[in-house]
Amino acid sequence: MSQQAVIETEKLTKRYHDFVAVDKLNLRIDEGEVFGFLGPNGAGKTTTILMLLGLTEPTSGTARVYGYDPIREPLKVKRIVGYMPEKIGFYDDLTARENLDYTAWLNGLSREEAARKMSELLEMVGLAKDAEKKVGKFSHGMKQRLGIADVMIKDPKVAFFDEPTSGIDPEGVDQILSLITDMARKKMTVVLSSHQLHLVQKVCNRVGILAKGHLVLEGSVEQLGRESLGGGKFRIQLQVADPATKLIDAIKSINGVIDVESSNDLLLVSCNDDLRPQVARAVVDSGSLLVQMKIEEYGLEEIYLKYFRES
Amino acid sequence: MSRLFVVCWKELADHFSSWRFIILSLLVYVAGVMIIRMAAQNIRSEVTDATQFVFLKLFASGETSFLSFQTLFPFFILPIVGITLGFDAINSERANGTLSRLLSQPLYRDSVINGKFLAGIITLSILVLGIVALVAGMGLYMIGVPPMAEEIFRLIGFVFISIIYGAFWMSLAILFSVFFRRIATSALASIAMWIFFFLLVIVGATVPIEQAILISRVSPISLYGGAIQVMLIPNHPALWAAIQQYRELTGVLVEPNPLSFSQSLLIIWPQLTSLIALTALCFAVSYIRFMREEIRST
Amino acid sequence: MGKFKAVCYVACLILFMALIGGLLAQPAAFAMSKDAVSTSSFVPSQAASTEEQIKLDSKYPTISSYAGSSFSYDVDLSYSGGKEPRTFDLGVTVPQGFTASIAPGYGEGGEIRAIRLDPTKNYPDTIKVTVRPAYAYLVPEPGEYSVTVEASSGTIKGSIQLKAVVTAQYNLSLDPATGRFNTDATAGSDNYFTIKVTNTGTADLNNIVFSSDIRGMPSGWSVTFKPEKIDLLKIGDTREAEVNIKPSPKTIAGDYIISISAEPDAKIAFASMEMRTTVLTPTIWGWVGVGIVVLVIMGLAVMFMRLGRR
Repeated sequence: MSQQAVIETEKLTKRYHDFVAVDKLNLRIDEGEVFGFLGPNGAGKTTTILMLLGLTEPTSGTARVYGYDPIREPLKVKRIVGYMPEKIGFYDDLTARENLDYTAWLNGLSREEAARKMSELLEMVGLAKDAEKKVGKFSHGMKQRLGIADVMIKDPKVAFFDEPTSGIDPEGVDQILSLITDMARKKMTVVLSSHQLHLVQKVCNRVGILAKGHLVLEGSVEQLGRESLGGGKFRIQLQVADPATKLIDAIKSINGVIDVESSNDLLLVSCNDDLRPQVARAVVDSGSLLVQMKIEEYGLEEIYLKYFRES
Repeated sequence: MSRLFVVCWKELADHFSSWRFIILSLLVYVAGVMIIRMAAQNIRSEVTDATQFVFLKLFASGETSFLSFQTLFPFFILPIVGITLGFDAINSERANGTLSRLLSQPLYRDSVINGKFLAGIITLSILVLGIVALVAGMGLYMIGVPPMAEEIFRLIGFVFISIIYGAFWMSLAILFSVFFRRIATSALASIAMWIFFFLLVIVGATVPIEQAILISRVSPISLYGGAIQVMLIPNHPALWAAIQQYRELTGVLVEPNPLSFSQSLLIIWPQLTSLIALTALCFAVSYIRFMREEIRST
Repeated sequence: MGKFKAVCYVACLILFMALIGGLLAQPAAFAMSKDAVSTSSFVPSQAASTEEQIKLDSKYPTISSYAGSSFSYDVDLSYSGGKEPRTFDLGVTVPQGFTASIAPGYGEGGEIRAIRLDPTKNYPDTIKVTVRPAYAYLVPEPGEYSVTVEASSGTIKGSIQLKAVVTAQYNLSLDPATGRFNTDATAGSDNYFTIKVTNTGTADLNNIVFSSDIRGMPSGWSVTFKPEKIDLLKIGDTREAEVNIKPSPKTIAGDYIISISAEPDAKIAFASMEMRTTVLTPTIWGWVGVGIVVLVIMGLAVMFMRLGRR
């Protein structure tokens, strides 16, 4: 599955004075992936993207985009990378087309090619009839869609979307997400950062959760789901006096139990239903002492919210 | 390099389609017409038997009056044009949120600031050349005395120095636009500098000579004013004083002819290099600051 | 011959007076003394009270005036020795080219031919003799002319010789031939206009030279005349001269006052005129100037159109 690493970071760190924005981040994103960068505001998502673009210099560690160092070879990186910043800005007194034209020109597109692509993209993002309008009169959602066109016009291999849906009404969100999905279908690697889990879940096939500059959780949506959500809605945490392998096997054999993890005297049981009675009996049957047991409804959301709360 | 051209072209287009610039250039050209009208009134009385450069008089007539190149250019037109062209060069991009998008395009970061600077200089040059050509054309029509080669050289020199001086104000404004995030702040800072140098010249007229000389060596207004004085008035009174002084010191009477162009150039060389240095300094500081600046997430 | 005696007596007296009066006496006095017919004013009226006689006298017997003008003499007539008033015929002899008229000395009146004199009056009657050129077009040559005024009645005759000294009047006038005192000129090129100079004096003028002065104007202007001088300009004659104004190429367009003067070598007459000369921009530079302005405006327009967005 993993052919070429599109993005690879190694101990990527960014420090602003005494504040650590990104802390020893190791990340690998493969070609064709739609990677969701999840995390609360200030978790370091934007900083990471900016470092990958070469707009911000890492304090330590390395970043590679298609094998290029964004600091050493910024132009090579920027040629293949599209970036839509969180607060997307356009020149207000230029029309949508003129704004796109500038980007096209900066990317060395020929006039004809630029004109063709602009019409195509404006059509695609649904701004064809507003093409000659000044961007200053655009709504936030329109600007966001224009931003997508702006990213697409250079035919990037990797596209970064930083909070593409913030401040947009639900309808607009759907539009933007479907546009991003379309991009992914065109074998484009997409990195999407958001603090809204459900969006990420909707479009991403791999997610990394960033909190306080750390990548706390990373994996494909299915994998994460299996780990946390996909396998069971509930997680029973129980403390037993003597957790033997026999007991673990016994619990595993309970119908409905998906997985059991053990650490010291703690056992974590993932299951689809509230299986506390069955688990309790298994413990008792095995002859161990049940010290305590609690059940949590547990999902990606919870993990995410947990980190969210912490920061 | 080609990306720099793209940025430059776009900035030029911005200048030429912005209302504030159109209004400003209208003001500048109206001033040009006023200058030529004043000159037309004064020139007859100022041209004497000894006047060698009649055409140049168009540009140097009524030097004490408000409506003359010697007053309007150093004190008003060029500072205003320069500041207008530069005060929001960088921070407007930042405020608009276009800077990070622009910098994520395949262009070197210095292309942005260089392109903007270049576009500003081109715009400035168009304005200055325009007003000078306008005055020259109207003047030629009115007085009917064609310029001599020497006068053309001097006018080119005048245009060149004026562009450098305008570029100084522009780079100063760009400097503030790099340092201050708010457009209003950078605009006010630029205007404050303008007023400061303006007052410095006024103060310079009241203080003892040693301090006045010092002021004239650091204030760009004085540097420029002195330089164009020599460019436009080959036998300016200040020059006569210098000749007199030289005579007193050495006993040699310098030929009291107007200075040749090359000699005038030599005289204003210090002013010229100071102006270039000041401009370069402002630009270099803003360049370095802009290059090292980090694009923050917020 | 009492009359001869009297004349001799009067002549001797005049000579005597001249001797004491020295050179203070008018030259006319000498002239009159040579003329045996005239009587002297210095003779006291009572000196010959017994004999009937008429005396003509003038306080200012010699008048000098410009040629062409008239000469007016007051002549006093005193009749003595008679018992009754007597009418005397009056006559004036003038040189060729002159005409004379006699009018009463005081008050209005037409030309008189005779005068009635009362011998008992002890003050003289005065008549006014006016001598003027006979023809307006024929101005008398400068020189001395004698005019004799006679009064006679029967055998009683008296006369006085007056002198008219005609002096020459030198006068010139200078005007533009067109009558317009303004002209146009193009800097750096020849600009012609014609002036006319007229001898309005009463004598011919020789070697009239033209000169010019451009008020407060730099050198580099040339004003030339063709012909440069007029050798002879007779009385009343008018000659034209062509003026060529060539302003310096560096002349600023506008109005300049050029004063042109004509003066004979002898500096006996002088005429000047002022010509308002409007220096026009040489056509080519005018067009170049307009061209530059148009180019600037067009250039800016093109800039705004090409660079500006809408």
